[in-house]
Amino acid sequence: MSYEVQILQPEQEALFELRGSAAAIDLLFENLGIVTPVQQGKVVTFNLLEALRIGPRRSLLKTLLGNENTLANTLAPLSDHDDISSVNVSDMYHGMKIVGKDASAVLSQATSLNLHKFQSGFVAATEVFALAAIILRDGTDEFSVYIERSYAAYVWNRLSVCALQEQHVSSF
Amino acid sequence: MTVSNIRRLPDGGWVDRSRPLKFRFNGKDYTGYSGDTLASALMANGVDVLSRSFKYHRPRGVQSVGTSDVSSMVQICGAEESPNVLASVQPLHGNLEARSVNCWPSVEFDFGAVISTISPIIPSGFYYKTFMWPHWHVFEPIIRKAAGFGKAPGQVADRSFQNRFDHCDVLVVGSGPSGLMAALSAARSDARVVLVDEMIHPGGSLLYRNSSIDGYSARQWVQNCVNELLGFEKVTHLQNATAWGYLEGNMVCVVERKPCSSEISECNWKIWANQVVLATGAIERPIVFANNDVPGVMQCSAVRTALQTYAVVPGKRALLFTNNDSAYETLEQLHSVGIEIAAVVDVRTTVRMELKRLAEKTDTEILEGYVVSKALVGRKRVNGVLVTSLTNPQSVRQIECDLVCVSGGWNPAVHLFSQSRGSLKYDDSIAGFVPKQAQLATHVTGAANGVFSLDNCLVSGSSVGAKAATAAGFHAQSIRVPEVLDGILSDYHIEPFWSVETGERPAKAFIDMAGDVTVFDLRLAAREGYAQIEHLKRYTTTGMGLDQGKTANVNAIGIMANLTDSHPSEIGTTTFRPPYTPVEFGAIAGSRQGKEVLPYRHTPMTQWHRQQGAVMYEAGARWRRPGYYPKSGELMDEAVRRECRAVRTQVGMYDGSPLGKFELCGEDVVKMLNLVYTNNFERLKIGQGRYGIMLTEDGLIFDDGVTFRLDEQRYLMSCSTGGALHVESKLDQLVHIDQPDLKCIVTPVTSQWANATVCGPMARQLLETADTDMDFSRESLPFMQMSEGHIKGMPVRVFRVSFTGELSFEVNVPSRFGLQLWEYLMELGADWNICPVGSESSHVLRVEKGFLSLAHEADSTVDPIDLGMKWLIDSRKPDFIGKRAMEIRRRHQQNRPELVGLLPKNPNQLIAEGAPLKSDSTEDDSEGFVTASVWSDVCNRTIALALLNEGRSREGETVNAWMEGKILPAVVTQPIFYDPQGVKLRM
Repeated sequence: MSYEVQILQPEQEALFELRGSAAAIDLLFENLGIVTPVQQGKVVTFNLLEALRIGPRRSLLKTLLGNENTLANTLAPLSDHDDISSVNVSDMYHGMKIVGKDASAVLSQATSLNLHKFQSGFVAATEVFALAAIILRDGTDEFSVYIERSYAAYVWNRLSVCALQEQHVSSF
Repeated sequence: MTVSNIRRLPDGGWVDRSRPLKFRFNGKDYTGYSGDTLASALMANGVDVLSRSFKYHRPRGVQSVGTSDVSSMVQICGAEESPNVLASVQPLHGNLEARSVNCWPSVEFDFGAVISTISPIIPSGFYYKTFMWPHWHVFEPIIRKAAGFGKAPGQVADRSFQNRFDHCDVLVVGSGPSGLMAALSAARSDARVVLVDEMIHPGGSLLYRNSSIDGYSARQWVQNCVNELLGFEKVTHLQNATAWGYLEGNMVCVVERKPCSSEISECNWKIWANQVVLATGAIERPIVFANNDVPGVMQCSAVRTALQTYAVVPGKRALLFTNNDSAYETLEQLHSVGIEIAAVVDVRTTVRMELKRLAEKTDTEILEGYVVSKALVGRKRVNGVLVTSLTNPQSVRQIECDLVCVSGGWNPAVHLFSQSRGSLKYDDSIAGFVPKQAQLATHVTGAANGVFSLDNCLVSGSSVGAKAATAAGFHAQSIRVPEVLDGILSDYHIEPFWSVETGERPAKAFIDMAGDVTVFDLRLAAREGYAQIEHLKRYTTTGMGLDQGKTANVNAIGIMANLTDSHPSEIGTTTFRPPYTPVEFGAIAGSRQGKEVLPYRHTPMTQWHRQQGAVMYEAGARWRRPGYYPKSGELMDEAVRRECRAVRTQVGMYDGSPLGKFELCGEDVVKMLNLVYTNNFERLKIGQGRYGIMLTEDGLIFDDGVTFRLDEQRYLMSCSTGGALHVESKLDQLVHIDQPDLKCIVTPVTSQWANATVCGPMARQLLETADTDMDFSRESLPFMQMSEGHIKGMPVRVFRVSFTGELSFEVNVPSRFGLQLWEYLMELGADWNICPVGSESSHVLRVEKGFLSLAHEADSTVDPIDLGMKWLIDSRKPDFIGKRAMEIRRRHQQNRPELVGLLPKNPNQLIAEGAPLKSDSTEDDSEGFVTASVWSDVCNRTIALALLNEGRSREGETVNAWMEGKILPAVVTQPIFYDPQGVKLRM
């Protein structure tokens, strides 16, 4: 019995990496209109913008690729001071989606992240197949994995192999 | 020919008789049942000899239980080929094929057994003393060939492996009575529980006990517990899964064999647990006596396992030899299946009345104060024993039997506890080592903690499970402990007894079956001063075999204590290390097989390169780049010359995407650059770039690259492909740890940008024909300047940097446009015969120009001055990383290797890279080495770069390069062979 899962390549998104002091990142989010505080390890969605608080000093902003220039122009003045840097990393990362009933089972072959406690709306900078990766839980049975673009083919193939393996049933 | 289950009881056991399974062993067909191990199925079919021993090639059969049974080692054949598999843990499945190891031509008749005749000259440590003439290496291959077990598979096995990660609140290792109770306690408190057990059936010691628990048979009670556990959503149960490593972070590695209903051969789990409960049980140890390795001599627990779990009768007439009460349970079980019992030989002079009554009930004679001094060898297995009185050694009796059941006591399985750095203590009451002080969140319960009675194990499991769940943050209470009818082990007694005195040169008495270590070896070690446990282990190899001393270690410690007139606690133990049992490499690699074994990185243009027939090379940091693009029938050298010629005369293009890149932002970027580079980055204008060299703290070249200023406070730094990760770490350390006040933010952007570098005299003309809004003229875009704009609508950054010595434009686009840009430029360049250029050609071009390459010239032993780059060091700067170390070293070390060029006297002779250099043809130390050597088309000859002691002052001198016994003279020159003024790259 194979896993009930699909590995998908969604359309490319615009990604901006924010690095700097926690206060500066908070302020930038506020200036973008994101009123809900974005806690570490959480994702907050505002209009077509997703704020991913990966760490205290690191966040990602995600939106449709078509809005890339608009967001770049919006961010430029907001990050034009010493405490924060915003860099367009839309092409730095490659996104994949793992969707289906067994999404956790497949992903648990790739990452040491504690998926039992990693709920919907959570984000983590972690590893997938021992490579640096950012993982989002989009839903109960849905994850997004962002991997450095140069490794995308490798990770895609490995995930596909994991998904195609016969389902692992651990029981007596 | 199919042989029936001649030693199988008509009923009983945990095997599924409705599912017979055919298998092959040593070329013969047999039938077993689902639920059998390979060992139990072979025993059931009357196979006594499974393998030959490591050193003396003695015949061996099943002796122990599970992973401690090293005598049952076999090689699995066919699609699942794997060496050194223990038949006692190998589940039987249809079409399994196995063979004996370490024997030729057969396990029954093995020529290797002749080694036994020379055993006096091959005791422990013999390789330090004998076979010294004419030289050890003459004998070494023969000895190596004679020793060893199975053979590694000759080809990749057609098997699937998997790795998995998991997290839980409580991990319970062992599903014996304590483990089941602990798991139930924790599960009922709603903790997330993982239960792992290495046997193919759960139950631990209950598998071979005739106990009654809460009115149920032991088997039914185990089944009830497992069923309840499976009812919890948050419980994972891994059976036939060995916890083989307990590491920091409370992480336990578990290898699960043949997960149920799965095609996966093995799955290696890494499980992080808030709390770990070790219910690993205890391992029965033998008593050492002469010929104690003969097939038919088995631990009592192994006999009980054969009877109770697999319904196999391991012999017809049995004799028990023991020093403790637990063996008497075997008596009862042997009797119940009708096996004749010759006698019980008990080293204790007084056996308690309860046991005597049991013996009476089974009409068995107890020989109190006696020992088995020797097993007598029949055709294939034991056929009798000599029994000697301890008080009167002259009183010797011979007793016929074909099964000797031995119990020397129980060793708590403390291996995982010890792996987690927990300390151990010797417990006189059980004559064994028990856990003392845990270092991680570890709880030990049951027999692993020296508790052997069933009722106490259940109590201990219940309370420890609750304690672990509570420690993990759950509201847990001990669960009700079931009532037990067990009997014999309710009051465990033992008299420590390690080995039977056998005289100086008796028949061999084995302590460690895995390494064929005998009592004689231990005596020798003691005599030669290797009495300390760590020395003893290494000198005799006791405990270093496949079973890691599971049955041998405590006996060895006890015997050495006797030999040195000390207490076992004074001898101490060694630290157990992972793996607890052998783990296949495949299980560790998991699904990372074949082309996915290494995570190679690719640029957006990789597919294009491959389509053009490029030979791909690893270029550092796992990047794969084109090495060269051979045309049909073209050799590498020819392709490289063609590519170089294109760059020097027309135009070429290479994929520079893998170059490391970082975006730096903040008002202190220049301060940071001035710290990490040796030169000065002040007064760098927007759009301008500057080359720099980074040093290590000890003043040696670490990396190099060019940094461009993008705007007021933003810079783009590049570094070597292979060094990108190290540079990132160095920058992170600097801005986050060493100089946290620096206002500089570093963002790695290597994969953000794809890079097509157009180089050659026609490069500008090519770009000027492009659909672009940019000005590529020398005035608008001079050397070391950058510009942003568009090419065919794609946003680009173009940098005027050259690694080839020619006019060069590094065109960077966001990676999504990489292939599009590349194909567009190739199309445009067709008019100039543009040629894709690989890293081989880049290497030739940079050698001609004398540009340094990390790992060639900068080999972590040189500084910039050695490479003639003193101009890159700004001595006015107050500091930069490595400055002081470099200055101190240069003050005291005069004879430095310096970068020079070499022109071989024979212009067609290529010197090998790495060849040592000497000024004459003597055997003196080398004075340097060749760092790079190429055929140069523009020079029409071979050229080389080298690091030569005091090289710059030796221009014109002839040095000798040594290459495979040949001496190749070469003249020392300047290290620049092409365009020394740098006119072409500034065009």
